[in-house]
Amino acid sequence: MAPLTKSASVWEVLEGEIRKPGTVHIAVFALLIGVGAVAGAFGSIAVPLGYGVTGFWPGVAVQAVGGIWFGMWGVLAGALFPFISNSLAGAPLYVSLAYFPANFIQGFLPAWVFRAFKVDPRLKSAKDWAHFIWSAVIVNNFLGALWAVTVLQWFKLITVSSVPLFFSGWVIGNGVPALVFGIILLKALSPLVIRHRSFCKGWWA
Amino acid sequence: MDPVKASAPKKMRRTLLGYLPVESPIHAFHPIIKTFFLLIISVYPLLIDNPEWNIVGIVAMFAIFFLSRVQLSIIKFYTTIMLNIFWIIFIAYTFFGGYTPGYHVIARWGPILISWENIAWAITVYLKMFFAILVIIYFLSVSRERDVILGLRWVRLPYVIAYMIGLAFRSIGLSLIDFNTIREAEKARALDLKALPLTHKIKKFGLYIVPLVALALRRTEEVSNALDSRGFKFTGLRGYRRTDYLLSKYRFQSKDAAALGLMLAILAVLTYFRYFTPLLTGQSSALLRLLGSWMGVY
Repeated sequence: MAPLTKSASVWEVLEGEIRKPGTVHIAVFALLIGVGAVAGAFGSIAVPLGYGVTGFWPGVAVQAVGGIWFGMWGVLAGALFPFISNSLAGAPLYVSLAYFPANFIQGFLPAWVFRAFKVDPRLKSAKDWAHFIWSAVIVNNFLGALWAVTVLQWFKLITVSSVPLFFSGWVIGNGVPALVFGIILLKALSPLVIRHRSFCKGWWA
Repeated sequence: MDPVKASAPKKMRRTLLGYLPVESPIHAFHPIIKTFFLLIISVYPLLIDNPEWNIVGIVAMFAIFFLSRVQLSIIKFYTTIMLNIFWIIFIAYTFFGGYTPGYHVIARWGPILISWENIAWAITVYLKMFFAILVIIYFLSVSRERDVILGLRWVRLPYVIAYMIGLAFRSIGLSLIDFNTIREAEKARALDLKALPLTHKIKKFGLYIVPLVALALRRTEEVSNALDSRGFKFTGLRGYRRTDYLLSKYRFQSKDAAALGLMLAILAVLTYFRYFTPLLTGQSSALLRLLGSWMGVY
């Protein structure tokens, strides 16, 4: 376990610290897909709005938190597990494929913001909370929803007039669980994760 | 027939979505055919707007389900989802479908106009979705994790990537076991899930993520140590070709080539009809014309 001094940011690579991608990252990537697929599939089946869009999708918390903790491993896992969860919930393959950028951005934005602005994943200060809320709850899901409804319209699965229904369904259905479960996950597990060797200070290690 | 043999339980193989009898004809094909089936047949509904042709596809899918001996309980599980999608599409198109001058208005509820064009489009989209969903259910019903990995290795994807994807598929099973363990632990503490209202159930379910992630983290250590102890490297073997034991057990035979050829041929025909003829468009649909005339539009 890496020692942490009070003054050092969790993102700062300490002197003599060697960080390289390893088997632990392969394992964390695979296991995040497993957890996300289970959480996502149950969510999609519980309150379905159609085409994999759901009124309550806890999988988004795994996307946001996975990216924050495990960098690109978490972001990629978060972008890939919806293929499985959406398929299990009855979304056609190409709709799931088309959602890839939306799911990618939902994990990538908080991961980038936490690294760029040195935000503490333990959510210790008001700054940490503010950055989490705008990047992992509001803007990422807004962008994800924007892409998703564009794709659904592109496939002619929804009409222009029904865009607000699906857009708000996506933003609220993702935003609420991202806020509630994201905070719980970060507060409960971040102190543990940042000392774990799978934690990524950079994008890959 | 030997009465002992006749009463013996059927041998089944675990798939991603349930169990499939060992004697299912789909097992006679190379595993890559299942992946090609998903990738190629999923395109068909995207090319077809005409409801009759989508109905033909749906009937064909049910026939394939029957011939492959997929358990009906799997399809039954999706009935609620199919109905949900029907209502969503119906509401989204009829009530929020919008209005363009020239549309045939059938009913008017305050500011909401229900037009024949929107209803026709709802029917078209629903049948497309139904066909596409059957394709994905079929793939999940007949495929195993091993088939997916074999498929990836067959297309010469690097071992590390194929291994990671295989591990990801297996971790779904592990997460499900963890999920059930957590639920059982709650039940042992006298939590009656059935008595909870739906909102509480959903909230409760969401909260399972925390122990699931914690357990996954703990398992990360175990998996990683196991990989390290077996000398697993990111780069794979340098200068050597890895022996694909499982892949060596399967041969891409002439019947596999025939199945792949048939799927591609139908795709080519559908692509031609889609872009060079009006056959697959909604306008050429006799069913929609019939429904339209029944509603007094034509």
